Amino acid sequence: MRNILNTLIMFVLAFMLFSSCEVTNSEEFVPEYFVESYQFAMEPLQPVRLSRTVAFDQAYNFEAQAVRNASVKISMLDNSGNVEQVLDYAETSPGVYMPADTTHRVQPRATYLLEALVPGDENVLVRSQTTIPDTFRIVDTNADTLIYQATDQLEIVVTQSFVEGRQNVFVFSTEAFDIRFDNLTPLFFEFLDEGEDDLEDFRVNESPPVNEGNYDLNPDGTLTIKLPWLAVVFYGQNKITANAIDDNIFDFVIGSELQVNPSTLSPGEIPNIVDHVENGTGIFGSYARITDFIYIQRQ
Amino acid sequence: MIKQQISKNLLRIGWILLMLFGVLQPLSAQGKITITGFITDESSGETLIAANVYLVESYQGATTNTSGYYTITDVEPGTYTLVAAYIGYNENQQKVTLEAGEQYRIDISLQPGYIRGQAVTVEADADSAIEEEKRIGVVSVKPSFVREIPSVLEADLFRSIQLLPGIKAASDFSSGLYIRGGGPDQTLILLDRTTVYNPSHFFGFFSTFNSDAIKDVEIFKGGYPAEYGGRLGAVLDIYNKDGNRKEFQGRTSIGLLASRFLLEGPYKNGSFMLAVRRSTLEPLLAALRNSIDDIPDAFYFYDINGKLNYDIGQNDRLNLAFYSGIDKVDFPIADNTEFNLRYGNRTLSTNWTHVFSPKVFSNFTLTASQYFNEAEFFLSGTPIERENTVQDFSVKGDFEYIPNSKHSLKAGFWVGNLELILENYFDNQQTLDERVETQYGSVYLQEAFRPIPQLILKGGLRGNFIGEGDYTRLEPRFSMEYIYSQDLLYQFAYGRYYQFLTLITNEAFSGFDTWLTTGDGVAPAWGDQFVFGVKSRPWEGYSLDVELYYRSMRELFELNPRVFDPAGLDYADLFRFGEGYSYGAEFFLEKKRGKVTGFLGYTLGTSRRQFPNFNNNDAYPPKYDRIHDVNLVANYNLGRNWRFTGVFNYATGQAVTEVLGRYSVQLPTASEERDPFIVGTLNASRLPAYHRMDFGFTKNGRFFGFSDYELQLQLINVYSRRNIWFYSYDFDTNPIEREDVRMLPIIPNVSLTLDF
Repeated sequence: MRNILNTLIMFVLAFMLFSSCEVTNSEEFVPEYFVESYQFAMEPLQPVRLSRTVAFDQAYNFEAQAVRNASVKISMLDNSGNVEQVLDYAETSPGVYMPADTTHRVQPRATYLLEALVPGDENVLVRSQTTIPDTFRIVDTNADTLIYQATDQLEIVVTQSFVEGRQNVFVFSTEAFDIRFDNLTPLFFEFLDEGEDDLEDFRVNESPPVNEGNYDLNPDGTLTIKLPWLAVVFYGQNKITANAIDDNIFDFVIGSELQVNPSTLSPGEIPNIVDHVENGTGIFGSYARITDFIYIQRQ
Repeated sequence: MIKQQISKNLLRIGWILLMLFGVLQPLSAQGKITITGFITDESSGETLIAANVYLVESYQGATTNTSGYYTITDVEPGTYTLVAAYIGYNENQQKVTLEAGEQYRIDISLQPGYIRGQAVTVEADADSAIEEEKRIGVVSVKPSFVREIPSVLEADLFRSIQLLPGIKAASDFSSGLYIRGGGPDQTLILLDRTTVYNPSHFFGFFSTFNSDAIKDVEIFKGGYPAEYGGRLGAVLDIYNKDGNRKEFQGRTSIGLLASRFLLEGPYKNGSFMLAVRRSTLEPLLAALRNSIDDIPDAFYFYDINGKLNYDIGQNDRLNLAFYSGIDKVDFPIADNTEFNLRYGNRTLSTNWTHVFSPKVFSNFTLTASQYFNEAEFFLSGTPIERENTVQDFSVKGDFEYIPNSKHSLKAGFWVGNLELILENYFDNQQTLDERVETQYGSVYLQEAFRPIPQLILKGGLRGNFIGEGDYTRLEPRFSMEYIYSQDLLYQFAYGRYYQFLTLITNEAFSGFDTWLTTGDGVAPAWGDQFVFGVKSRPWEGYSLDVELYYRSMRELFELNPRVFDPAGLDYADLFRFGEGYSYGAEFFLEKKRGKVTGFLGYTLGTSRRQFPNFNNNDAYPPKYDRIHDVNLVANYNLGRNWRFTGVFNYATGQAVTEVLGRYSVQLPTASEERDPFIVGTLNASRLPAYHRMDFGFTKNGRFFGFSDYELQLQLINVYSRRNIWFYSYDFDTNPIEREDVRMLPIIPNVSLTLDF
């Protein structure tokens, strides 16, 4: 009997010794530099915003967290990754940096490098780069006026964009011009509360990233995109934009969606966003976009 | 064509093994006596699985197989006391005189120790040989255990076995089995030898197995032998009742969630069993609908289990078993917006048990298993639909050959055709059409060698093939047992395991469970398992088992959570590929005698996963990883036909990711800001510890002289500990507010069962 107990006690002690180190809750928040900028193919350079992140239980306010006096520039790189053109930025309001050159048009399929040197003891250089999606254009549309939830949906025939190494991914946005509570389509009318919800939050509505593989590829190489009724929030005139997105936008949107809609992850298992930013966090992303207008009538 | 050829070859190997046994049979020991037979329940004629049979004078013995059949070989002529014993049954002893050169077929019936209407428990296992009743990593669960454990609304097999060491629950809301650090898809679940793909009702809250229909359950927590395969971790082998062969018998139960009805009885040379269960929430929902919004239009589940047995002769038994279960919910969320879900399983199996000779036993089974899942979401005129179907047709054969007392061989084959269909539709346009139809096959051979009475060595090899991706894999298995004394047994097991399927699931909701398989660029996952065990009887009436385990998991493939839209992607792009490991120690102290019986189980465990682009490529604990897990189950006979069952569970809080910081972005494609989190190391923090106590009182008696009854009064979570499931974050507030999402409060449960 003593042998038995001794053996078992040895097992217990030995095992507890090598496996009893519990994971502890010891991580603390460390503020990071947060950069935000979005560029569009064949459009002028867009602003860069620079601020700091805050602890999750603090209110985030851009003005309060703005990083001032940084040296910000965006460089267009050639195919070998060398700097082809430097485009300087200047601070126009706290944390907001605007391009000095307003004539430059962002080149599709080119790679741009954002660098923000933050003054101070650390002289931190925040860096990120994006490759601009190729432009595409509208070939045809099937209507300029549609009845809500009629059999015919808005169909836009577009040329194909190009992104290196993968299929195109689109984010569709619908911008309404007649923002009234009684102008909401039925689903949103059901869910929104006139007293509580700010309709301005729904003026521009976006879809999740949608793969090109969802749409019919026509024999001539064009793509027919259908607008789901789900995307229409308000009746009346709507501007429809199809945005081909770069990897940075894709990873950011998917990552932030995953944080609130965990899909196959267990509740409470929250992954960080893959942000493609060195020495900081945030997003430096790019789009190529087309727009169309549609008037949505009530049924 | 190649796949078909390989499948044929596997089948051919199976037949060769069968013929080999036939050739080997005459070579076995001449002049020695073999005793064989079936062990059955005397009152019902049900065969008993894992019952012990032994000869007192010669210390020779055997355990019945899954058909209730035993074989004792190499017995010298003489007069012996043949003892058959099984937990909960009176021991059967009989004197047998054995003469040289004869083969003896001795079928034995055991009388149940539990007399209906009277709570009399008989301890029949105390004298049985320890090595026969204790296999490494194996736990046998009886239906009475399932029925007596206090349970939320409905007795449930999975909820009950989650109390055993090494088996964890993800939450109060999940019946999923997390065994030794593995997820639910790493456990092979067999019902009457047929794979069940989604064994859940109410989206994971309950398992599909009706406790009235179950005869026996064996859980192989790890290091399982070559006769099983296809999963990295564990096997749950469930057998439904055959049906009472002696008399017609019925049982009906009324509970808060569901009602059950069972009918069984003799049929020609056999028996039948039919068990039906259906949720009975409709009256409650109708009442709530008048006062509360958002009550589903339809919300129910049902399942039907059936079995028909026919004895062709003394050496041939046939049975036909089926299961059908469905869950359905129709939920109108708003005008013009509704959610409909229908999912379920159907299985059908035909089993032929044939005794070729006293030393060669066989089972042949045809199986069909279907899992279907149809989800529809109508959102403001935009339909979003998903259909997932798994269809599995197979044939399997298992052979046992026991030439002498030193050798025991098992061999078998399993070949089948598996079809997985996954279709997505968005706005009436098909966005995903994944169809896989593949052949699969496996053969195995395992030998148990007993060079000396104290030592048993088991070696096995299993070969697997799956057509999708053309993967062929070999799995070596080895185990040994050393009997140090009558009260102490050392065990070791090693095995390599491959898994060709993966499950897309969420622990909070199993209603969308979807299976995917290997394919081009998606190789099977594999892992090694090492298990070391000590089984002992430290004191009279007590047993203490300790098992240490280590598992590796390689080439894990699971749906990449970052794939929100699978349209246009290559098959391999749907997955993330990673690794994992788990190790732990399990302690199981059981008290089998006296007024108080029960067990204390403790698990010390660690599990880790590692996937690229998650957690900076470092390993992290899955949410269900629990370092300490203690379960105490106590039964007390209160007298006057009242019994008390108490359950206490304490576990380390589950892993959780701590949210550290935040920022806001204003994407140009939306008016509303996004507020992403900055999080710490993935799952590096812990929720508060989980603990809960449940009480159950059971009264047996006669119901107005009409039938026997069993009344159960149960209280779940008696001190209403509001254990935290996870933290939820409200984005609409600045700063973000954290809210505790809690698990079950105190819940009463009442059920009445009538046996007639």
